[in-house]
Amino acid sequence: MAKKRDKVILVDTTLCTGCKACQIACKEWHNLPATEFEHVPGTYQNPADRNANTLMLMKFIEQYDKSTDTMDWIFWKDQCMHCTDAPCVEVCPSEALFTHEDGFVGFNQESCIGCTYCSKVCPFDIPRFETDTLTGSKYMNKCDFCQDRVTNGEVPACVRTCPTNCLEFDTWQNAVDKAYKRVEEIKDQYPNANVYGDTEMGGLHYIYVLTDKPETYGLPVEPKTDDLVSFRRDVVKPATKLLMGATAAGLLTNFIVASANYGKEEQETNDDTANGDDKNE
Amino acid sequence: MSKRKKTLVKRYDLPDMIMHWTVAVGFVLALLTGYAVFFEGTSALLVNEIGVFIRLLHRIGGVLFVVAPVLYFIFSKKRFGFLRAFKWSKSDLGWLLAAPKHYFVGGDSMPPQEKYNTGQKMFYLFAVVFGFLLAISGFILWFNWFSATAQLIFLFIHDVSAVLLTLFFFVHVYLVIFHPADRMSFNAMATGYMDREYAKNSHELWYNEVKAQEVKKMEKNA
Ligand code: HEM
Ligand code: SF4
Ligand code: SF4
Ligand code: SF4
Repeated sequence: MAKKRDKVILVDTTLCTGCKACQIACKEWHNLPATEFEHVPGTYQNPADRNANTLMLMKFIEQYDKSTDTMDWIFWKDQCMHCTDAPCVEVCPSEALFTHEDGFVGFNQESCIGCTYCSKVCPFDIPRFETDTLTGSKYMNKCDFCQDRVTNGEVPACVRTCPTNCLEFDTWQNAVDKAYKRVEEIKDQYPNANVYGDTEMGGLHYIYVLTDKPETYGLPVEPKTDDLVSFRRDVVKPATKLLMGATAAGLLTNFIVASANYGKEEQETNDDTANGDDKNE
Repeated sequence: MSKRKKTLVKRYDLPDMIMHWTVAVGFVLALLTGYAVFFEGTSALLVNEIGVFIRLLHRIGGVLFVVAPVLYFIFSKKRFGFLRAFKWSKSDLGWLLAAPKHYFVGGDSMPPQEKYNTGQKMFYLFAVVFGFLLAISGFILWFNWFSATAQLIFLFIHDVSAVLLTLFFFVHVYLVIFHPADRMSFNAMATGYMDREYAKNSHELWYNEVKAQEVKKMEKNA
């Protein structure tokens, strides 16, 4: 479980105006180039998806309710969720991904070898890659929780720039408590309101106040990762080492025993040349 | 008849040897680079440029490993030679039972063998089956086909095929380079020729065939 004092970003979607200031601030702080404009029909979302140069994306969902003839316009901030039980950290071979002492999942791009294992296990489909013609992918990129700012006592760039208090930087327990209180306050207006992130993947380090069910946002209701992740860690890797060691030891034993025995036989045959037959098969 | 031919018997042609050694080089390259990523001890040392280069070498190794047998299959007259690995009989069981004594202590209890003995056939079989799985799963990982969950399954298949083939590969290399009785068979794949005595003792059935052909050829020439 996430620790009470972990650092966390609280997203109260009811306060979001969809201004995208956070999306720009994120790019600016990470010195990432603009992505070619891509017209996505019927939405303000741009670009269509996150990429190696767009670590977070404001998502725009238009919900038309026929029964009341009303329109609901949903915004939410999409980036790495910073899982406590992060499968990406588990599979990353190069220690590019790591769990920071403040609880979030940090990222050292210089260490990333582009193996794409993280993207195979992330339940939120977060990792995006800079492509490479020969090997497919050169390196991954994702929200790093502004680790350079946070470790120096600053708030993340997106939080810093948010004009409406939709984004708040807090400790984990505080944020969860605030989120539940907020859900109580808005229940009348949004009967489906709920807190997302306090139980998922051992506790996320992004806590959301959502006005509708997670499905509406395209978020997994019960995010989980494949059992193969732990099976590879607990069984396949140790077994590989064990079998390799055992085989090497067996062959060494054979070498010692066989050398002694075959040497003996050779001598016997040499002594007994009259016999003529070479036993040394 | 040259002196060389008196003590040696022809076993492999140049294309056989080129294919074997290309596969071997590709396999070793893929093995070293694959396990550099697999084991935490080595993978933690990798940084971006080195890691990408290692992964590139892995792909070069993989391509060599696949391309050599494919070209061989298309161009060599012996393309169906690998089917031998699928022909099993009762005498193979006898070989397996006698093998531990033979390989540790020595002795003549082994049933007479064809061109490939039971152990070699097993390795050949492993190479064909798990080599195929390695290649398929490897290319799927490389080009990111199918869903993330499927990818994880193919990574698992790649891991398991790799370790099974690697273990048998250790045994194979050990036998032809280090084992006191079998190390002389190394020359067969290095030069194309095998020691006549060794062939007679270790591959009797095959040797008799070759002998019969040699005699026939000589009669024709005479
Ligand atoms: C036949 C063609 C092959 C292809 C196309 C291939 C491709 C791949 C790919 C794409 C990966 C994922 C990591 C990366 O992106 O570099 C990988 C990993 C690996 N490969 Fe291969 N490979 C091949 C053959 C082999 C062979 C012959 C071995 C020999 C033992 C091998 C052993 C491994 C190992 C141990 C890993 C690491 C898996 C892990 O970290 O869990 N591969 N391979
Ligand atoms: S959301 Fe995905 S990338 Fe982020 S910590 Fe969780 S598993 Fe890792
Ligand atoms: S792509 Fe990079 S960050 Fe992802 S698992 Fe591989 S090395 Fe780690
Ligand atoms: S925490 Fe930093 S990296 Fe993550 S979305 Fe906000 S600005 Fe971007």
